[in-house]
Amino acid sequence: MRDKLRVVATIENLRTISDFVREAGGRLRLSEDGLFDVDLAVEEAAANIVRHAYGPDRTGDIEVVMEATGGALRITLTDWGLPFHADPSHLDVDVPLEARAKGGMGVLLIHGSMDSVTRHAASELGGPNVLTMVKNVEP
Amino acid sequence: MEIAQRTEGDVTVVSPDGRIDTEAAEQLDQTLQAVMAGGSHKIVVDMAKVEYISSAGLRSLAAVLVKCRDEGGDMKLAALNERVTRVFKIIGFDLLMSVTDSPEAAIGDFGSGAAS
Repeated sequence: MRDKLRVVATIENLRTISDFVREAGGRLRLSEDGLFDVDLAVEEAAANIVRHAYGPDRTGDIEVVMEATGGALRITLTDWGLPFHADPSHLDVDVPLEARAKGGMGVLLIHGSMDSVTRHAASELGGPNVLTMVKNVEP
Repeated sequence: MEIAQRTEGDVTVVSPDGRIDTEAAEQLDQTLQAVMAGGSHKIVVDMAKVEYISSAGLRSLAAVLVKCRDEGGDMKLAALNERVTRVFKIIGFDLLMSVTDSPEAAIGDFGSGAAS
């Protein structure tokens, strides 16, 4: 099974992406916990693209592909803007509340919800930046 | 997302209903900011009807909590379901925020002066 959605990277389209992910995940018979985790990770990743990939004066697309492969669900998000550079400190748990109030939790939630996360930045501007997340499906 | 609101003495109870995704988090934040602008810095967020929360919602809750404490008050959370609790634990919010099983317990904590 392979489903694809391509939309303009806007805050409004985050819900479109979520609906797509939940519908595809439901067809794959993901558990409710699995659906929750996948929904959250994709929203966080897509929100990062919406906020950082294209800048205030440009628009661009985000493509979401969901693929069932060998007992796991592989989700790929592609954008064609500035690559997102996850700071290693984004994975720190011991962070004061005041810092959390400024943000930076998305990367931690992505890594906490999915079984593997890999990024491939485009070799030149305008090329595809690809984020791949895998969720193992319970037997 | 519907957000109900009531007062119990000097405590304001805010009850969001549904998904707190990036868009809904903006709405929740506006509601909480309005509560504080009205002079209330003792807030209980009743999460019983919240089925999902992402980082935008968490960011808003963190900012509101900081502001309430700066004003001598507090923000307490109540009735988180298992999945929302798991999100809180990933971020470590279960250690930074007061979480009770029910809004009544959170309101009671305000009255007893129980520490967060």
